[in-house]
Amino acid sequence: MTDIEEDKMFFELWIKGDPKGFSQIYEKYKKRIFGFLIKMTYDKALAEDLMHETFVAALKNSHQFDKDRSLLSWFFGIAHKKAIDYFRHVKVENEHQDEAEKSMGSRIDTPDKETYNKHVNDIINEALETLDPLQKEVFLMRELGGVAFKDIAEIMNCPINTALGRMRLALKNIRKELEKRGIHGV
Amino acid sequence: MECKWWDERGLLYEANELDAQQTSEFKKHLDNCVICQNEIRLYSDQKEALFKREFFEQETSEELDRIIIKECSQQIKSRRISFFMLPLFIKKAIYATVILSIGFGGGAYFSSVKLAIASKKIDNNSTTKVAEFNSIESTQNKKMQGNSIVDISGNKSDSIKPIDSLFDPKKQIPSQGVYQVNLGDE
Repeated sequence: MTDIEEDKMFFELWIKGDPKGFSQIYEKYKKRIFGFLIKMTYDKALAEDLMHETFVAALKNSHQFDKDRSLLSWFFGIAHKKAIDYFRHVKVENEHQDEAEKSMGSRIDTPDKETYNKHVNDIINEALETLDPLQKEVFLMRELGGVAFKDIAEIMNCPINTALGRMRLALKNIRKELEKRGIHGV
Repeated sequence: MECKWWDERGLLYEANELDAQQTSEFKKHLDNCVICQNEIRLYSDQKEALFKREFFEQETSEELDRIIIKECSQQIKSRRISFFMLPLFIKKAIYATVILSIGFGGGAYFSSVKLAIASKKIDNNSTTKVAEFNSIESTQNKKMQGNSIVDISGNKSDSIKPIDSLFDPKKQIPSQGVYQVNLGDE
């Protein structure tokens, strides 16, 4: 059974009122969605709140899900919206005029950062932190969520070429950061 | 150095998001473009070595899992019994609609049933046909004759006998009930 078929099966159970369908989907994707939210916010407590809101919103709007599309893309779309809504709210509260998206990624670091060592996943995550929030979001949706570029463009409400441009810049900037850390040719 | 083919199609090619014709065109271009070859190689190496999903995933706490699954499961279950949880006046409205629909539908059906059409039970041993039907189209054209109701609407008078033993022939002929009708000789 493919990933998509499995998702469909669990989603059907969920829609029919069987909580097992939902919990299977949650278990399958929770790490990826939480990883996305952590890296977009750098605040564990906030990411947990947004994670909670994402799944409750998914439940509330489950009838809107197009079963021919990727379930994970749909979750990423909701998580993106929740994060954007939060930062818009913060922006209004702080009376900042910058775009809401620009606020993303500027919050305090996770406590785990103190224990960073120089393993490769730490290096790549450090490189990620240097990215523009919009580039980072496209990169994470693509690499972590496997979200198609056309879906990323739809989620971020931008033309597909803009999404592709952000991804290219993300790759370019990650490369630069890796070279700074002595990693060349990868 | 940059190549517009990479900018416009390279990442889509890598993501398998080009259609067959575009893929074929890009492959032809790739054979002759060192820039695109280099970009594809670098991106593939990065994906393999650095952009592993587990590097970006984040474990959720048991507490968060418990809260989300509990809340969402409760909501899913509550949807199953949502009808019973509707306010009383809405349930009454639903019941009334169903009853009225059945009443009007049934009335329309039975009023259209002619005596002969309604006849399903024919006594083959008798020289007369006996029909059983569930309503009299109109009591205006019926009259009592002994213990029977007689239809005088047509050229031929059909003898209609109420099956319901509780029917009192002295009272007004009910418009609904179970009757027998004598359809006459063959």
